[in-house]
This record gives sequence, C-alpha cells and structure tokens, in this order.
Amino acid sequence: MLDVLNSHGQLLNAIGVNALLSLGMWITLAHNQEAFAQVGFMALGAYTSVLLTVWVGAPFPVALLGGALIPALIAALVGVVVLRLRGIFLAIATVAFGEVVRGILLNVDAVGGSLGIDSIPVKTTAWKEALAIAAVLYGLWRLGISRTGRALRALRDDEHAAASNGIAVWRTKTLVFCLGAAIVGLAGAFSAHYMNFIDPNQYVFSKLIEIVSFVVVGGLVSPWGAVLGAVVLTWLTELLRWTQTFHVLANGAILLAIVLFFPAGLLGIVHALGARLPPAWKWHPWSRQATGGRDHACD
Amino acid sequence: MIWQQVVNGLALGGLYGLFAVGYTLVFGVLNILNLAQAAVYMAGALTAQQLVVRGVNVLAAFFAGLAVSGLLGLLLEWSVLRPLRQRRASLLDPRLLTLVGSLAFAAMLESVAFLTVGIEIRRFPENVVGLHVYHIGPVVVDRLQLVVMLLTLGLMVVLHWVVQRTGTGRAIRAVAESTGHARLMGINVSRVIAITVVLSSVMAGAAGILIGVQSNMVYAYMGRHIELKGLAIIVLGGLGSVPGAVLAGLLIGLAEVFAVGYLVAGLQTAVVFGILMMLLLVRPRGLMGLVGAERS
Repeated sequence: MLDVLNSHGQLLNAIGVNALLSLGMWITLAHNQEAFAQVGFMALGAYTSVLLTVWVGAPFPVALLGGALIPALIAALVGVVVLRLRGIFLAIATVAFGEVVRGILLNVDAVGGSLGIDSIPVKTTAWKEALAIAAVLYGLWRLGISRTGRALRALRDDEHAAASNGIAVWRTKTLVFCLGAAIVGLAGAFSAHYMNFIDPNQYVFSKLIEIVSFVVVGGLVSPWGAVLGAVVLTWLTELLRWTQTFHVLANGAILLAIVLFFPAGLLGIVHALGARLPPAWKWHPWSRQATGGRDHACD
Repeated sequence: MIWQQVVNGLALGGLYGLFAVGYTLVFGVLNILNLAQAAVYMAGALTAQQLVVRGVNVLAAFFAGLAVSGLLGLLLEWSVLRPLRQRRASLLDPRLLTLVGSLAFAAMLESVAFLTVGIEIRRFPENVVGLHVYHIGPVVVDRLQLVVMLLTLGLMVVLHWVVQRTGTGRAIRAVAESTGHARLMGINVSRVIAITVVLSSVMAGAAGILIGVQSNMVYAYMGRHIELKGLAIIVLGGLGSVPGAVLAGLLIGLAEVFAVGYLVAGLQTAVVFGILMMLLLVRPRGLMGLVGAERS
C-alpha cells in the first residue's frame, strides 16, 4: 500500500509523458498519415533537451523548447522526402527512420553510446506536464477552429478534393508531421528529466506500439481520446502491476477488445453514454462524431 | 574464408526469407501487415523445443511446432482478422485497426509464453541431429547447418509448388490480384484468406524452429529481433512478391554476415534501415514488386 503511495508522483509523471506522446501520435494518425516515426522524434527531443541542460546548463523551459523544436526541424527535413510515400510504405519508412536514429545514437560516443547519459537533473513535475498538456490541447483547439484546421480535415477526408480546392497538400502534410514530432519531442524532454537517465534502447519498436495503443484505445475522434487512452492505460498498467506479468496479457486483451468491439475507442463509449458531457467535449472541432458524421469543413 | 561467409550468409538469409514470405503472402491477399507473425514464429520454436526436451522425436517435434503455428494462424484469422474485415465502414482506417489487432494478439501470445516458460533462454539438447562435420571444398558445414539448409530449401520448394501449381495456390494468386474479381469467379475468398494466413503462419513457425535450433536460443521475446528485419526484407523484395522476399532475405543474410565479418558490428542496423529508407524513396516497389503499389 505504501508502495502505491510512494509511486503516486511517479505515476502522475508517467501519465503526463504518455499523454503527450499519445497526442503527438494522434495528430498524425487522425489525419490519415500513417507515420510512425514518433519514437525517433521522442529520442531526438530527449537527447536535445538533456544536452541543453547538462552541457549548456540551460534552464528547463529552454531545454523543453529545444526538445520540441529540434525534432520538428528534423521532421521538416525528413518529411520532404518521406511524405511522398503513403500507406504501408510511409509506415515502414518512418519506422526505419526511428531505427536509424536509434542506431546512430547507439554509436555516437559523445552522447554515451549504448550506455546513454545518466545523472540528468530531475526537473519534471506533474504540474509542469499538466501545463504542457493543457497548452498542447489549447493549441490543437485553436488550430482546429482555424482555416488551417479546416484544410487539415479536408485533406484527411479526400486528398484529391482538397488539392483541387486549392489546399497546399504538401505543406499541410508537413505541418502535421512536424507538429507530431514537436509534441513527442516535448514528451521525450519531460521523460528524460524525470527518469534521470536516457539510453537509446528506451526508444524501441515496442515503445512505439505502446504509443499507438494509447491512441487506438482512447479513440481517434478527438485529442481528448488520445489523452484518455494514455491516462487509462498507464493507470491500468500500474493498477495491475501486482499481478506481475499478467498485466501484459491483460493489456493485450483490453487492446484487442477495444479494436474488435469499440473501434471508436473509450471516447466512443463516453460519447455513446453521455448526453450530459460539457459541450467542449462533444463539440470539439476535430470530432467527426460530434457533427453527426459531417465535418465543419463540409458545412 | 570468403566462401564460408557466403554459405553462412545464404543459410541465414534463407531462414530470413522463410519468415518474410509469410508477411508478403498475407500482404498480397489482405493488404495488411500481420505483425502477429513474429509471435507465431516464437510459438513454433518454443513448442518444438519443449517437446524435444521432453524426449519427443526431433522430426515429430518439428511437425508439431508447424501444426501449432498453423493453428495459431487460424485462431488469429478467426478471432481478429475476419471480424475486422467483415465490419462495415467505421471512423478508423480498417487497416490500422487490423494492424493494432494483430499486435494485441502478438502481445497476448508473448505474455502467455512468458508466463509458461519464464524469462530465461531455453535451449535444445546438444546435438539434436548428431554431430558430424562435412568438408565440401573450402567450406566447412556441420550436420545441423546442413539439415537446416536442406529443410529451408525443401519448405521453399513446397511453398512454391503450393502457390504456383495447385488450385489453392491459383486461388491465392487470384485473390491477391483482385478480391472482387476472384469472388466473381466463384472463389471462396474468405477460405482462401484463411488458408493464406495459416500457410504464412506455418512458414513463420518453421523459420522460428530452424533459427531456434541453429542459434540454440528460444525465448518468449525472440520474435522481436526478426520482426523489423522481416519488414525490411519484404520492402526490399517488393511487397506481395514471394520470390522477391526470398531473394531479399538472402541478400540481407549475406549483408549481415559480411557486415559482422568485415565491418564494425554496431552500426549495422542503422546502415540496413538507412538503405531501406533510401530504397523506399528511389524504388518503392522494391526488387520485384508491382509498379504503382506504393500509391494505393
């Protein structure tokens, strides 16, 4: 019991990081962009921020900013070439990108190689993460109700129609890719500054799968789903930890059940249950369900 | 020395090809990646190892491992792939759902294996096929390696025969070409898909057993090491192309053996995936893939 209390702060921190990761994954998946470079960008964000605090001695907000900006910049460069692909090809190319990042980090001795970097100052607190999540959600909200947001949804629904209506397809796609990279980079910076050490093998394929399952379990319909999925799954893993290895089995079963029976995710269940939700939940601009299957962009 | 490396590389590459063929077969008919295959690969190896340790005949254990893999494939098809296929349009891309569903299946299979045999690496008894070293010209091969190579070759010949020469194989190729047209020609598409999934699972199980015997390391998470390699191979070979997957498997096996032999060992994954990214940009259809597939 005491154990649970002690790990409480840690649980909140983990939830915060996972919610950010989930949001960064959500923005690409929700726009029909099957890009799975998230762990690579997370690693870049973590390493950038750690180098800023440990080598340069930069204050934490600067490190966070760097941790978000550098991945976004690299995403813009990588996006130029990778985003010409789509579907399964885009997925595999972006997974390969993550492996390349990890492989390079493993072999650069200046950043510790396979040992990584340790004794990173612990600067992450739950409220800073909450602030960051709120900022990201607010940003997504503003983006959602803006002209660019409508362009994003138009692109999501039909690329050719969007292009023929004068939407700059390539620029908009790159924007989505970069935003995702920035958000997971931020998550990487936060996680590095609470775990106290980083090494390249934290950013493996199985981590990516975990992030994707947050989004799918929560529901792709709106950013709330991404946050909900991350909170519920992280909390559930912690809750089931006493069952030792059974929690992996339970997680798999829950994921399968969601995929098979509730394709709209937990948020879909919440939507189905609640007419009494606050309007902000029901009428989020990203939500397709909220508009009865039609989108603001088409109204 | 160099011929020895070539033989080692081809032996390893053949096994990679065997594994990747399953990915590519399922991708051909369903247009999805079946990521549960790495777990089925592990399950096949683990079944065979546990049986051999309990004193079952090696050959019988091999076929039992194949049977378990096939059954797991059938279970996957019935519990995950078919229900998701039959669902009406939903908010989500059905391919993403299937991908995640197959991952969930893999996670469950892995944790069941983990709960059964624990974390430690399981090994086959010494000399499962007897110890004998053959000298063929400049090349030295022991009996185990020879048996594994012959079995790999044999399985590929069987697969080739099934896909190219039997009615079922023709049906598989027809569904891969166009599901709708195959259905119009009276092919039971659902049954063909089930057969394909089972076939690919059996091939994955066989690869698992053979790699498990050869490296003599069988454990619950062994599939994770080949999962991404398999993806690299099918992209290199061209998605949906069986000969492409075999060829690419051989190439990757050779590259790996030569990289370990002549280059720094650490950077090899980064180099392989870097080449893969470049390849996707320059020639997304791979060595033997169809034109235009990357745009669908």
